[in-house]
Amino acid sequence: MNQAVSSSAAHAERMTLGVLISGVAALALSDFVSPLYWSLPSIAALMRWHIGRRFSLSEMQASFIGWFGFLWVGLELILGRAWVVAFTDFLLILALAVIVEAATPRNHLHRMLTGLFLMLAGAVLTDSVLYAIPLLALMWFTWRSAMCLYGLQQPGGDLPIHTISYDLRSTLVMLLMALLMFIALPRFDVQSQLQPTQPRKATTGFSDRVQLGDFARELDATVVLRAEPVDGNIDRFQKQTLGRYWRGVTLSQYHNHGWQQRPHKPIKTWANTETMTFAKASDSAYAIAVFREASDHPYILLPDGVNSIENYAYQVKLDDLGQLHFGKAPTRRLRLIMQLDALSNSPVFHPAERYLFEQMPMPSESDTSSIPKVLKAWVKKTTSTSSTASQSLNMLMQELQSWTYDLHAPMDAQRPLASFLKNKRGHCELYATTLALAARVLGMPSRVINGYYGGEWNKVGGFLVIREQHAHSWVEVWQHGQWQRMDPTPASRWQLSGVQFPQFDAVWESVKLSWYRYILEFQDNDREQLFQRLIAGLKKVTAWIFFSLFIIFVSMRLRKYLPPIAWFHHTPVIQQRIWDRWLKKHHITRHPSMPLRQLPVPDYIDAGMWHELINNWEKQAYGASKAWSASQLKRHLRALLHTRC
Amino acid sequence: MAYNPSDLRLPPWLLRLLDGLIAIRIPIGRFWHIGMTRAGALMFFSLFGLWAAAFYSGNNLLYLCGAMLSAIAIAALWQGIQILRYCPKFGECLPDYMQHGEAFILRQHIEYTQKASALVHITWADTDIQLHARLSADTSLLTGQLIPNTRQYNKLEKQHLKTSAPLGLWELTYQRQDPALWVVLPKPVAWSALQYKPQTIGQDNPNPRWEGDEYHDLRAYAVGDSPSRIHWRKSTLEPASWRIKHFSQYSQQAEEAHLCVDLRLPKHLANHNESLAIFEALLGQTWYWLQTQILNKQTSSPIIHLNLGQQDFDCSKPQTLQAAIHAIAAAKPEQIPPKQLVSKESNYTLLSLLEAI
Repeated sequence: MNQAVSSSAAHAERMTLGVLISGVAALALSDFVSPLYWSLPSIAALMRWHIGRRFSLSEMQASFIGWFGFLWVGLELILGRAWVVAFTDFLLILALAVIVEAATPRNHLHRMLTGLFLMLAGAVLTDSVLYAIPLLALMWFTWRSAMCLYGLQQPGGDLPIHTISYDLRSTLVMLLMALLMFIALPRFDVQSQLQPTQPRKATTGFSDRVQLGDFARELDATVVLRAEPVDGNIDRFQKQTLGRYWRGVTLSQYHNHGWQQRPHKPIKTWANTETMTFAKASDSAYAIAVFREASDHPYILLPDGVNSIENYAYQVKLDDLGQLHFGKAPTRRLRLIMQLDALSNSPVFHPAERYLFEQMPMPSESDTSSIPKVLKAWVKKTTSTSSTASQSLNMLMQELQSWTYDLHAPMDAQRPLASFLKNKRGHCELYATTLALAARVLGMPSRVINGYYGGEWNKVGGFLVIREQHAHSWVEVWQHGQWQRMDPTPASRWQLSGVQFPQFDAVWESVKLSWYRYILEFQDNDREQLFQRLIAGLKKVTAWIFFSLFIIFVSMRLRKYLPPIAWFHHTPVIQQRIWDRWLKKHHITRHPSMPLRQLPVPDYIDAGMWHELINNWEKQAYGASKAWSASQLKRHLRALLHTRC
Repeated sequence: MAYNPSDLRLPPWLLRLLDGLIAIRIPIGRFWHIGMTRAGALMFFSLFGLWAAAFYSGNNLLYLCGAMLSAIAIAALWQGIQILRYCPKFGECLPDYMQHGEAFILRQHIEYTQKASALVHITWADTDIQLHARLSADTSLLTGQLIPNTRQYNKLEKQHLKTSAPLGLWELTYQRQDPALWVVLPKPVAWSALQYKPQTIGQDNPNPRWEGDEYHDLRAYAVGDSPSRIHWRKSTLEPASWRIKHFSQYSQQAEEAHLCVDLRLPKHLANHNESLAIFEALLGQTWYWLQTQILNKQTSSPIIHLNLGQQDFDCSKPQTLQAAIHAIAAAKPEQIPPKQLVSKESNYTLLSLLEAI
């Protein structure tokens, strides 16, 4: 008896430990948490799991750990640590205290409540797809631990808990219920401060100040944004979206081998929930959903031909450099719905076209004071045969495009442009800088634009991925009264790829996009779309449903008129199996040829009822009465159990 | 149950508030009521806070957490409903009859087809019967301690099942039909038919008969027994310890055991409680007599006849014997005398509360 009690209690102990560790794992996914803080409770939990209750401190000692955590966090705050980081540190120290606390009923409650709280904190401090794993684990452990605790110390001893196979079915039902609730419940979004927060990331070229040569050091496979069609037309999306420029930062002042922004001012501000419109949508326009990763810069990447953007969360400004940006960098992933025109060769950027007057060139965009002499000489030499500035610029661009793209070309840090012109090898930043400065030498205002180009098509999920390695620099030159894009970088630049396992990466990216699309960014309109799709699907199969119902109805009607012999060979076989299973369950062995009436009356069953059931069953089996269905036999057998004690 | 918010050292006012909440029962169906346990109240408020945060923020991960925990709560509720719906019937497990003040320990294995473990509390409406069923896939046991404190004959119908399984969050109550007979007989009052035939209680026998030398049994002393029949060697000075010899000769000679019980109450007894007490004593004597006759059936008369007020029973037959037992349990005072008294028959023993018969 004592052994049984300790076994149940030990099981409960492990289950509640599972609840707590699920919470720790959920919070550990957040970048706000230091590995030291989450590894301590994890190691302690492993030791508690392995060693058992002997690995514990008294409640008083454990409470000292909790108080130490409180004081430690206070110290961290005084020393200037961010409050959210200090808060997660405190939670994890508390988890450590609860893990090593003596095994008492109170400790079980502490574990479950702390685990739940850690999970909720994780819901706010991370948006990783991996969060689903501790969440599922928490559900399982909460269910099992609550069941264990319910069964402990009941009158008459501990109750045994359900088998795992039985609970797996319950878990499936719970998952289905959770999914339905998740879909059906309305979204209000009153306060976005508690939205899942994505770890902040820096992105290439999105500084207001860039030194030549920085670009090559930052390229990797980190995803910057993902885009997918809103209407599900993947073919059009792929053709129309893959080859676009995604405009980011405008750099106008060249000084000391580097670019920086000139002073700029906002020319248009949109409040949150207001749609930003740049141009009138054409008939060929289509909508895309852009999942923007959180970044430490506030810029919205704008693709060519963008007509409008739906804004959900933040105030947005357009400045006189043609940059669109939030007030401050959002700390979470955003979904932006953009309306795009069909892909064209137009070099004019829509917002620049609409707000042309406010974006007239400034003196800094014509400044030639910092242009190296070697560049001026190269311009003069290369354009000696041309007659106009535009023609000269085109000649220079063609010349540059004939050179070699090399991300790792040697570069003299003191004279980067000189070495580039000498070697005729380099990356897009050098090409763009050379052309922009050359345009100024020719008397045309110019600026360098940092953004992204192209992207990678994910075949598994059917969406576009733009990574850091798709970062690009190009030039905007003031020609014919407009800022016009020119890209002098050789086409060989786009043959590079930094993804090590492309197939695996494609699947993983699809999973992540599904998580963002269907979980993190699920909104009321998604529910409407889902219902519309369901209704559309149902409409397609409505005829089949009615036809099937009709067939079932006719079969049931016909069944009444079929002679019993038609069912005789079929029904008893199934019923014999039901009988055999039932008898086996009640520890009665029966030879296949042995009639039921020769079997002993099972224990606790009323003999009269038993013989009556057998008589009735035999009557129907041999056609003397209406044949039973399998469910009828099961019902009779259940009724037999209910009539005895 | 091993987890309880009181373990969290909550302040007493909060615990009182929780107790007030868990006393609430909300109907969720025709025969169903739901309430919360303390842990359930904690879960309920946690869910409330969680959903408030989710609605306020629009954080879909909070929605997901809330949906999963709500699913746990709903699944627990659903499983609890299934447990109660498929509980085996317990009515036939009750004893055929019991005696007033006699404890009966019920401990019986029962067949249970579900796999969920649960502790189910069983009561019948308008009775003080309380049973507990420990249900599990391995062994299921019905236990209870039955101590009836009043004579009664009840046809039980409405049964209440209550459980907080499987997680101890929701306390579900299910009312169902589980017919059973609850027969509580009076406490047997020992007496000797020899001395009172055809005398009434409380009077010594003026014509003692020769009962032989050998007694075959001893019984407790009843007021009116002859001191000559007291077994003094097995008794002390206390009347409660006196034992009366029960001689076999008379019963061997008897061809028919016939008791006539007059259920009329004496009119001079103004006190209702006193009337009830002596009426119960009368029925106790009747039950004692019937018990004695059943026990001595092999050695004494094969014919046992009982007139209980206006009802006649041939207790030699099992069916009528059971009917007689039920009639004793259900007996009420009557206004008219038994037929035997009216017809002046004399070959019976009469038990009556009236003195002048």
